[in-house]
Amino acid sequence: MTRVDGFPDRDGDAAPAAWDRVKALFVQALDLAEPDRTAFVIRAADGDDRLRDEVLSLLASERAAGPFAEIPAPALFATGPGDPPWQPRLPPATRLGAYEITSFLSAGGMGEVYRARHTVLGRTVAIKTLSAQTTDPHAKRRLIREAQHAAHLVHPNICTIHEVGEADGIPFIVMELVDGRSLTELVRERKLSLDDALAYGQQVADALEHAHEHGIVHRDLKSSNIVVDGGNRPVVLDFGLSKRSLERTDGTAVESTVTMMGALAGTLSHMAPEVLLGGPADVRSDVWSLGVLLHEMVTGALPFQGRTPFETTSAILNDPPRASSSALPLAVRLVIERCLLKDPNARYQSAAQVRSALDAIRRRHAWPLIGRLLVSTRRRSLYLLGAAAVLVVPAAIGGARLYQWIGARDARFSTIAVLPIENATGTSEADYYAEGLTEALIGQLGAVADVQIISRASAVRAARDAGTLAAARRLRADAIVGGRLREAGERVTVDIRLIEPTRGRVLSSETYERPAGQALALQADVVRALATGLRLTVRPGADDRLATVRAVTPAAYAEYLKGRFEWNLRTPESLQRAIAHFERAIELDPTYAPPYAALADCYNQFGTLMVGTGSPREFRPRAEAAAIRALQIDPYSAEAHAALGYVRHYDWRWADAEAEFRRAIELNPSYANARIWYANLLMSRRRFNEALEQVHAGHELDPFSLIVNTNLGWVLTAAGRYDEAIVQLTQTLKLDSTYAHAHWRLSDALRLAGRTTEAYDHARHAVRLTGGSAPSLVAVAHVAAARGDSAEVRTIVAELQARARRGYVPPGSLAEGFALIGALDSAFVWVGRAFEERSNWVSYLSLDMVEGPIQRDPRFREIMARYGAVQ
Amino acid sequence: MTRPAEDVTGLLVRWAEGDAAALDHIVPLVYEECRRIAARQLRVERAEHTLNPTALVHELYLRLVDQSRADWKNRTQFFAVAARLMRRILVDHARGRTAQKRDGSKVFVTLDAAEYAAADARIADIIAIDEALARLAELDPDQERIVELRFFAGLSVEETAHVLGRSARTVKREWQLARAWLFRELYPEGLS
Repeated sequence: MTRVDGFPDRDGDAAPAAWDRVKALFVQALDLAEPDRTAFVIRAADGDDRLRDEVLSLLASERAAGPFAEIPAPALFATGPGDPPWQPRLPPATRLGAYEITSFLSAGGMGEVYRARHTVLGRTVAIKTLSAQTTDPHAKRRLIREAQHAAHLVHPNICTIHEVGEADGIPFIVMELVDGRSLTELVRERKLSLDDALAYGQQVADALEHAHEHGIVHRDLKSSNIVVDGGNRPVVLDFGLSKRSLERTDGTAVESTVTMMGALAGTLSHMAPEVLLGGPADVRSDVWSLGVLLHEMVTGALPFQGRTPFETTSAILNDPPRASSSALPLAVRLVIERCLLKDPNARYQSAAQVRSALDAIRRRHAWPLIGRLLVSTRRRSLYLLGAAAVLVVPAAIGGARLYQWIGARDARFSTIAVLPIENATGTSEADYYAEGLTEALIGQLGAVADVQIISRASAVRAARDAGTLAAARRLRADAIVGGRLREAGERVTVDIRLIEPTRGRVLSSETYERPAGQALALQADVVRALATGLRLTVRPGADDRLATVRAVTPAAYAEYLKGRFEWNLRTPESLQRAIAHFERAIELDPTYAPPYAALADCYNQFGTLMVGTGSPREFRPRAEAAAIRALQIDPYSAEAHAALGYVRHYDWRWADAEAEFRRAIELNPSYANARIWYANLLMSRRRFNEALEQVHAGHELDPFSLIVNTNLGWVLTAAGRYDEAIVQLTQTLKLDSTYAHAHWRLSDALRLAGRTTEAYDHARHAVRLTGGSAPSLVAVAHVAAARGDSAEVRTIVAELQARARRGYVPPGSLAEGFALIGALDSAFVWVGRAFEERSNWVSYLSLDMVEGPIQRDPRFREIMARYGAVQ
Repeated sequence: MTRPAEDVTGLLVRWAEGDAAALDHIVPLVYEECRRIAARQLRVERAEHTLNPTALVHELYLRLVDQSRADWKNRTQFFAVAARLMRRILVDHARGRTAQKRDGSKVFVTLDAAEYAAADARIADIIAIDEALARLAELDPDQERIVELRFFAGLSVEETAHVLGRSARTVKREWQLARAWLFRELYPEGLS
């Protein structure tokens, strides 16, 4: 978040000297006539941009504040609810042309709105007076002209302007009276279903399209400008009446600042970046606003919002839109994202395009949406039915107190973020312990309770980027667990705090202490207290598991945590170190299950193409043995089931693999790795919809994970949805542009979409970042072949051949390379070896995206049949 | 009932002489009295919509301060204290009221002017203004005083100026600044 240094913010680190200058300038500006203030401030600030912006911001706020705080606090208690806060200018029975005011409706930045009646025709209308800001006669004329222009618009979703007039120097607009509720209210009350939101979005897009055809840009589209009437019809108000039409247009540099600052008061959150920078509003800035509106309707929150206008501005100009829940159909998210691209040229170029995109989604999703609704309802009622069997863990330390507080509100917590536990022992040795404890809490909470736990990597990233509370909001968590590890020697001492992020309120703060040998019991204490405190529903059986926590040799536990620390880094070297730690942990305490499961994970990673430093024949049996051993000790280990599922997948035991993944997810629905590995299995079996569902679930649990994001793009590519894949992978690279895996997958997606130039760049990136790994070189070769550059393809194949003579090269890479130069005989030698060693590569050979000469050759069917890899 | 007047006056004098701790002793003495008067006013005069906070402060002043020892400086101090107490009472009151209406929380997003018209929204504003004011005070304690006198104690610009011994014009300007600052804190998106 950008903060204007030296100026007050919520942390209170104000710089008094700067404030004095702000104050002096503000007060001086107030003595001037309003139109002269901006120029004065710019001049007086004398190049001090922060000073200038702060004073202009305050002046804008002063203008916008209206009756704010003018009624003394004591008097507020004396007025009954519903009383108008200030006297409307026009009392009932006032005549305006042929109309008679019947009542005051509302007041806004531009003037007041009244209900009125045509004295002859008897028709009831709304009349908007435009008194508030029209001091400039030129601006007033222009406003009237624009309103007259907008009066030509006739569309079911546009509020019809009947007449534009002027009485006693007050311009007014007579328009259709729409009885209903604003979208702002509906959004706030969370009354919109996805179906409603899409239907409204489509109709608003249609209204924009109609206006754009008539050369009218709305300029100020936002949820409070849209009213949904009794017939469930959204009606857009105020076409062509934006505040900016009141500004002067002498095209000076001052004007853009004036525009910006004036606009800040009102509708900043819906404003396109180019408009914010002082550029003219056009069709595409309306498209942006439509994107903001869609985001607001489907997520309930604005895509860009800071605590101050400056933060909001900065977010609009620089940040990606706030993440939306992956429960949303991806297609919807993509439409929104495309509306909200910073570059107007990259957006949809017309409202019509947005409308047809929404239309397509609505037609496509009509049934699945209903299906999803049924599923979730059924799940909920299952929980209710199971209530008798469900155990609420008896009040433990801290829990009871929490219960009282929450009980009053009857809150339900559905998403929890466990932030990294801080190492406060004073020795960096204990870093691994703090991290391991974090991970253990995440794993255990997710395993015992019916709640979604945000993965560690995403919590870490969000916390690093945004600070605790902001992190929780970004992660959409409704409770945060944070902690400090104070001691990790003979005794383990940890403070655990539970925070409710909306108000930043600490719900509980407890200290847990146990001898090192009872570290697991300590974990169980914390988990139990949190589960009780948060009133989580504990799964049947899970309570027993918490209750029967065994002792673990402290040294073994320490080794395990160190291993997980290394595993999280996921480089070939760190995986080697992780393996060493896990093996030592097992040596020290052979009856402790987690290191076995972790070991299986490490071996599985060695089989992947990007890490791949050796044959799966060597590693997979070790992974299998470790996973099975873990399950013998602890049949409830989600990690072990998932690791075993992984092994089974690439051993082509599809059904067994699926059963393991399902069991893992059942045991711990918050385990993101299980989701993405399962998605890979489903994808390889061409069950794309299910694969997307799983990978989306993984994404929701771990929204900032690079591997999860990349795999989402990969599944989309495999499903033939290249455009969406490209967007997804491009965004992944925004998280970390040095993530080779995403470059590699993006290169494939771009190539398949026919965008070979970009595909080539990304493949080259992957080569550079991996130090020339075989799969990345093959990605280059694929693009080169697509571009007809056979010389480069040959160079690469020669290089791979040379490497294969010296050591291990994944056979799939060689097979693809030879196929590209038409050497199918050689290619099949390597295809054979890939099957022999059961490369991960083999599993994906029946996908369309890899369809090529290999698949079309009769030898392919033969070899598939021989190895029984055909379904 | 013992009149705490002498104590309050004495404490005010001490406070005026720079003994910051004296204020801590004044507060509980004045608090009850202030609450009593406020409650009565809110109850009795509510029907007429004519609650007069200035009268409240004056009444408090007369009741609590020994007039023979009161000078202009005490009076200023006293108003400052009274305004602060009013702030506390009203914020408590607002909390109680909003707690009944909703779950005690209010999320400040953009708000329609029409919604702002609802008294409840403005009562919830009291709480938010109180919180924002604490931040403004760190920046500029003068601004806090003006807001307390104007908004919480309901004094007019002229009365505030009189209490603070400054020109009405200056107070008006400063009040505009405080209002702009607070408004921006509460409604970063403005009222639309």
